[in-house]
Amino acid sequence: MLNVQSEEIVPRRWYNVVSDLPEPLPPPRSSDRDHSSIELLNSIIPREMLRQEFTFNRYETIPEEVRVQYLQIGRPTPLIRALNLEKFLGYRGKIFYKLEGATATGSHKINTAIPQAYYAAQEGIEEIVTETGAGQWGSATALAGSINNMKTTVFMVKISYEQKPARRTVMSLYNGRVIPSPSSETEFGRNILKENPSHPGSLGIAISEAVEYTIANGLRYMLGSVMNSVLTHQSIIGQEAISQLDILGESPDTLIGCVGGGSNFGGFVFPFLQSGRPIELIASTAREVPKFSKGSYEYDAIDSAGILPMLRMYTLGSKFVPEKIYAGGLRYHGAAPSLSLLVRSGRVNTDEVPEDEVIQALKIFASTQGIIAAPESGHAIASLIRYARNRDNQGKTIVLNVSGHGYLDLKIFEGRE
Amino acid sequence: MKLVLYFTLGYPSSHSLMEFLETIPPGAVEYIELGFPSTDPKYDGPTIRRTHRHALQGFSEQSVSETVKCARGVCRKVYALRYYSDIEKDEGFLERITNIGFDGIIIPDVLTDYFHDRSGIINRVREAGLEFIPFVNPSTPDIVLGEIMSTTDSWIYYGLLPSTGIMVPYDLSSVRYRLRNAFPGRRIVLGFGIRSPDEAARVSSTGQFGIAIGTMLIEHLDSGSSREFVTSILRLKEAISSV
Repeated sequence: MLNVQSEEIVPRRWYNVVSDLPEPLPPPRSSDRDHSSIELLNSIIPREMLRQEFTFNRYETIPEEVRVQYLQIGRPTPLIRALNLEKFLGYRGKIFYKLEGATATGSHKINTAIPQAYYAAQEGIEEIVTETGAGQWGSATALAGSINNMKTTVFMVKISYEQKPARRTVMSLYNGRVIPSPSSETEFGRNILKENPSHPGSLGIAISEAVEYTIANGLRYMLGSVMNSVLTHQSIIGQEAISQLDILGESPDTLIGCVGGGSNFGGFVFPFLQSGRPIELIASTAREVPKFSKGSYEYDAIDSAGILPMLRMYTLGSKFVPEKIYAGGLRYHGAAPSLSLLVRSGRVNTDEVPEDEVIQALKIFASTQGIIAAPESGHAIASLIRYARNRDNQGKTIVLNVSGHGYLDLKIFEGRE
Repeated sequence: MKLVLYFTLGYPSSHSLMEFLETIPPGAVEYIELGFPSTDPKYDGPTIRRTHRHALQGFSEQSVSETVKCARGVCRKVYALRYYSDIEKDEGFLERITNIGFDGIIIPDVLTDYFHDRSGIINRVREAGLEFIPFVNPSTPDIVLGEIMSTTDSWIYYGLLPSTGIMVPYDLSSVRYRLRNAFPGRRIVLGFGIRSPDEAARVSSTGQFGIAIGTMLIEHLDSGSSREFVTSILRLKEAISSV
């Protein structure tokens, strides 16, 4: 059997790694002395999200309504053996990939957008708010809002808004209201526009606007990555993969995924830690954003505006401005605290790949498996190819997480066909 | 259930803190924790942070000895609370506080931010003749709880929240279940974020050894009303003593 899909594979509970870490997870800390930015979370995120953020419970029940929506958006996602790629690489072992790009919105982001929107709707909220850079997270939030009968407002970094009209269209089809940021909807945005009416925007500005808009209107703000509760929701990826591998009678030696904020990677690999088996874990990042090799492990702001709390993590500094690589999702300056802790302790290995190599990897994956993966996922594919080409790694069973599809990023191949 | 109270040394002033301590009714309080003012009380919430900032102005260790004497007069044991980052910058601190008369010390950041230094500091605390009170919270993994259970023998401070000032909802039945499994037979004091007698009563339903109160009493220190201070303590005591 090459592909396993059945409703029963979708788990009934999420897995939270906190109690199983080798050392304590440093808690979030206020970024400002006088106002608790952690207290701010009390008033902007759904209360159930706050509880899940700080719980030690190893398992959290997935509400039945959320599980139904997981099925609706295409879960379980396929786990496929990459026979063509194995042949192309001459690899003497097995390569499987989990395809998160097969969800309705085309990436893993929907896995946390659905429960967050559900918890907001349970509180009687009529509108949810978030920000988006490249648009993956904004799309997922807009769909999650729509299926929970809520309005969704997405502050989209203005330069992406102008350069990625297809993403805007996707969000509007999901009934999302997309506002180019900086905007005149908030005081923060108006002040920036007063200084510079053609400001291109930034993720930090978009977060600031989304938070201000949320507070001013008594709404709920949705968190895209990095936070522990988000990684808990993403554990659905790894748990499904475990069931699918079980059905196939396979046991992995190595897991490979890409890291932006760390949510698809954590969600994919953490559930495997429960077995206690010495599975090799490889976190692939962009060489242009070398958070693990050149970043420091310290408390830093989640957002460049410093509105949200600080987390202890590998970071290049919240003011870090990365090169303009296509993998927008990997340009983030930090990585989730739980993942950072496991990298620091040596449990998770890291690999950094430059964009040229990523493009080659994406082309190989497309021409062998037919999957046009997202540039972010291309990093994981490139790391996999490196790994499989190493003589020492022959004969292993490798599982790769393909976090999203790349149909809206085909520009990356222009002039390289 | 027993009551444990927290105060920041030198707040509102050393003299005024001692006056408040003297009003505590006999038998109402089990332990008192006295926090050494810090420039970075990182796991404290906004109210306690404010007391640290205020107390730092003109703070002198000379008044601590008298404060400890006052505290000892109204409770069974007196503990120091100080951040590891501050202790490391202050040579001889552990020996000095032993001489002053503290029974033990709580170091809230050692098991999170300085996890790899834990054995060294625990040994130094013991060599100085002090009890080491482990501070654990919802983010402490099971493997670390197990290590604490086997390497220490004092009571344990369990923070219900990751820091004070973060009002995160928590499920008391899972807290009770976790503590029973991790620390069979150990005395546990639950703290962080208990702001009212009702909340104290709810938390006391877990049947643990005690609860710790800090922020809730600060408003009385601020207003200078020792009558309301005592009333609050008695109401807390009443709320938890039915358990």
